[in-house]
Amino acid sequence: MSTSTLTASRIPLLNSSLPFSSLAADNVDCSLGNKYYEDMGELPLRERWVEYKVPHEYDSTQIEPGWYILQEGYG
Amino acid sequence: MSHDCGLGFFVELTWPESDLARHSTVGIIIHSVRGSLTTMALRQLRVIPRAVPSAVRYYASNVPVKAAPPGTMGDPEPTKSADIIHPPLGPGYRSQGTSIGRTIRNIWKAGWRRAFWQIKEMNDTKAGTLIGVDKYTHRIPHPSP
Repeated sequence: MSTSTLTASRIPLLNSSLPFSSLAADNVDCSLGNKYYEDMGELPLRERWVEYKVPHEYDSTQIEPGWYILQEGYG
Repeated sequence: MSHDCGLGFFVELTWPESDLARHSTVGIIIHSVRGSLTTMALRQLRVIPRAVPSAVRYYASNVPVKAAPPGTMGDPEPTKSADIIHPPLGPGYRSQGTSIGRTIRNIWKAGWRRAFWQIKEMNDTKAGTLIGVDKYTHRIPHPSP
């Protein structure tokens, strides 16, 4: 039996300093594309970063629109 | 004419640990440089060893040191919104150490091989949680030749 509770960590739009990892899926194919990481213990504004698929040929426009919230903080 | 005899009268008064915004104290610094231009130049060129500092500093103030009342800009009271945006250290948050500390910690967590790759590619060492992978479809294709 699973109950879904609406906690503050489930609303990333409310506070960008809350972690995204509560919403992340664990079974993903890492060989697909850009990888998005998170470490809330890092310094401010360094908490989330992207590892692009192709090194040396990356551009921030390669980030998909669904992941813009990770870069900007509020979507 | 002042001459550097090597045995100067040196006054050093230490200023207390003060924040100007907190105490709002006026400080007056008077520099008195002893010695001629030749002596200064020789001292600058390290011909004369600078055993005794030649600058005499006087710190003076006619305003007594006074702490700011709480609730003002000098001594602000923390608000709840600041605690919400920047929460205090808890079990979920580590202390944000220095850069070398973060580097060593991330090398330790990520491993030497991945740390070298990260320094080469992104000029930093990072270790965190993989929260997602996209499909790499939002890109402009290379122009055809």
